[in-house]
Amino acid sequence: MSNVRLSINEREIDCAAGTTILNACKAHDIDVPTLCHFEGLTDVGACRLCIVEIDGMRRPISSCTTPVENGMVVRTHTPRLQTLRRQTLELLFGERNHICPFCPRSGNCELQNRGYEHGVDHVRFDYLFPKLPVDNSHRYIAFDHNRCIMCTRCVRACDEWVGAHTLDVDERGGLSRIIADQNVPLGESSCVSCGTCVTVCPTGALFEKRSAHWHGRSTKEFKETICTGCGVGCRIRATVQLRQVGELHAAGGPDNNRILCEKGRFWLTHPGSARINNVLIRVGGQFEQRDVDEVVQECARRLRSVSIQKDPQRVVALLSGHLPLETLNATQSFMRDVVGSDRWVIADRSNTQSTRAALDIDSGLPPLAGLKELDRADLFVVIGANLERNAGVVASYVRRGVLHRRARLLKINPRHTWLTDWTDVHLESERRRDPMILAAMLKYLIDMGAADAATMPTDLSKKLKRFDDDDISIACGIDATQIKQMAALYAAAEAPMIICGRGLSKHGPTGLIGALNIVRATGNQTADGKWRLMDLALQANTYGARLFEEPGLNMHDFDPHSADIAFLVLGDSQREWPRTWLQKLRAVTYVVAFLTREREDVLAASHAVIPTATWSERGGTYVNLEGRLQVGAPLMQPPSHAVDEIAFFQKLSNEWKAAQDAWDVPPLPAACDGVADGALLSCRDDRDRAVDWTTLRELTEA
Amino acid sequence: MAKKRIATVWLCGCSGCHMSFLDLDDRLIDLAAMADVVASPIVDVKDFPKCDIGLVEGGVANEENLEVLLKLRAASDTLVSLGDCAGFGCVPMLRNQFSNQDVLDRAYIDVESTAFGAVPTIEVPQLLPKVKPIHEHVKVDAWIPGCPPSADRIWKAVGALLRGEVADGDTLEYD
Repeated sequence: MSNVRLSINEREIDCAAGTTILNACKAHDIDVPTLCHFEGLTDVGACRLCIVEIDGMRRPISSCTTPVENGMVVRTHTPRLQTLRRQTLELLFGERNHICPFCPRSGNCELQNRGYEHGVDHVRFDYLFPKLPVDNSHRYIAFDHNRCIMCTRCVRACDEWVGAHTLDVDERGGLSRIIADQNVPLGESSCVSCGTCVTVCPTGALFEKRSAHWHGRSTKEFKETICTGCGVGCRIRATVQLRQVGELHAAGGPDNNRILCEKGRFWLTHPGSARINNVLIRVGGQFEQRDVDEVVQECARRLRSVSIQKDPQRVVALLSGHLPLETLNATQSFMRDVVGSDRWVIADRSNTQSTRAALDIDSGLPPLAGLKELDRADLFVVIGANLERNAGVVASYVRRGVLHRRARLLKINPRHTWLTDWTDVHLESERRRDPMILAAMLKYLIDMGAADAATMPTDLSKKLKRFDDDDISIACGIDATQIKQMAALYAAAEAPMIICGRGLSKHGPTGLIGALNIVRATGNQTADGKWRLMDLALQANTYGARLFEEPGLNMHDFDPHSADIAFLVLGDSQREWPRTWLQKLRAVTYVVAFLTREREDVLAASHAVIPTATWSERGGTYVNLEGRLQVGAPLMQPPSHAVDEIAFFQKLSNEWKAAQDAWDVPPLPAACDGVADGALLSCRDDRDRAVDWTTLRELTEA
Repeated sequence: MAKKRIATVWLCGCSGCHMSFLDLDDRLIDLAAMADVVASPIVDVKDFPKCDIGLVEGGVANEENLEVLLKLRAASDTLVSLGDCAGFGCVPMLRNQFSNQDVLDRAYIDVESTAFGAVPTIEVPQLLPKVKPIHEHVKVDAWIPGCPPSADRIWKAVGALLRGEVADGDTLEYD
């Protein structure tokens, strides 16, 4: 791109053609005041604060929407401009009802700050005092139209980043208002509750209800950490005030592109049940407050029992995949090295072993495309995943791809979700037929010449030739023309991305292998040799747990039936297991639960409850679904009653084992060695990996 | 230097700005050395004598507010708007979205804690149609925004006025 030379405030500046004057100013530390501009959103020139004077132009123009030109002479801070800006600000203050003292954004408000900068100590224009509503219908967000300055940042963010386009503008001029959908209350709209509008709102028009009354500049702190809601691992910026976490905002970072989802934004701060503040031991059917050492001694006593000495497998552990790698690592090491049991499981509903088998985890992290590839994809195949519910940020990537890049969307999932309305092809097939459908898709891709079948055994290719649409319809339980249509769209796409959810790996590794086969046979790789496939990790550390040498058991195979002791290391987990699974725990003689908050079903099954630190009180290492290692910082110190799991197991080991058998918590898996915060873990080179033709064989034999 | 004369008044406000004024604490002694407070809610004087500086807390909500404001304007050389109500309207101007009748009915009749209420009509000033900041009625010479303005900023501004200087506006605060 050619360069342009212009003069800004008597300074000669070089910048790329096409840049806006505002961005040229920013790049050279010239501070032009703005309100409707937000980094990463399309500029619209709504607020008129960034006006500049350009020689040869009669009137000042908005710098955010004017591209630089060669030889331009620009002035940004002339007395005339400052006067105009002050007038604009006074008009904004006078247009609606801005009352700073009880606004939650006061002290952190862009309108207020611009007012201070321009010396607005009163408004010279008559106030309009319009009667405006406050929309309080949404579960988490309130919209006070009195404070809205119609900058439309929320409208643009909702459209451009979230891909929801729930918000838009109604009416015109002085009557214009931000509306949701066709002017319905926000709470009844198509809002996906990601809260991005709250983050971008320059004033207090959009605010989070929960912390709306937490006003007070002096005590507010801003801290950054990692969202532990799912495997996407967004970076979040939290407001911390008086030992409470206030609003959570997206902090950018390499992955999430400034958006969060409902989980990250609101679930973490709306836990829904009371905190456990004491060590509880069940005495005659009732919980009593006791000391943690009593639990340690009781565990040690039981661990010394004859039955466990004879069969260490009678000790089981259930770990939440939302816990930091340090805690997971210590617990699995305690189980393997101290107890000698391999009956532990990372609770992640997806089939850990089948994903390991399909992705061949034992030989390093699989080279799967990252989140950025979602923004380049021109076709999405979503299979076995409810993105809106389980990975809202990925859903946003998909939506904005469909909305703005006209990406195609193919969905293999019996369930109707919001995304279903946007699909080009939606297969309402049975879940268990997913592997067959993927195999059939591969067959069609081979027929179309889009997939490479050079390594296919001849007997299989002969068989496939005889295998026609009718056979496929029977094997897949669905009209084969739809599958053919999907294959054709996939073949025509330049950068198709397959997104696999836990539904795919539920019934064994074949589904995920089938998806990988399509990607491999069609050679769908990114420039850096990664497969265009995303295996959704439902929990913050699902990928981190895959780094352990031993995978642990499968959630679905895991039956604690004959266990004497079960350690449930759950932390904040709320909804990770099938209900039936917890009922099985009732057969266990002694259940110790590590929890932060009351969970009736867990408490009912437990004999001892240890309160632990919640997500905001513990830092730790997480590995997200693109293999990025991230270290979260604690937002605050844990309360004194919180017991550290690692310290508990260390104590228990010391109590139980003799000194010569002392156990030290091992270091994190070697893959994490020397990897900086935010860097990708190295993955193996899979470029020459052969296609696994067994899935096609299974199809022909079905 | 002759002692300056200060008058303060509180119109439609919550008295918070005057509390903040009293928060000058030991600086009140310094103030007393420099100026006399000739009229104020804390000085029992019915009419405003001539003064150098008039500090006004609160916006103009009723006829009495307006009358007092006009008197103080006439009596003072420099009229200062103290706080957000006087300068921006602030909380009292929330009522501007409703009719006066609705506001009165809500406050005296419909409110949950009242039984057999009635809108008072005797010896109370009539509400004006809208609550407005004072500069929409009279000429104002200086503004000290804040809800309330901190004692430090009152001291800075009033101190500057007493010395005949202009305080810089770099410490604005609206809340």
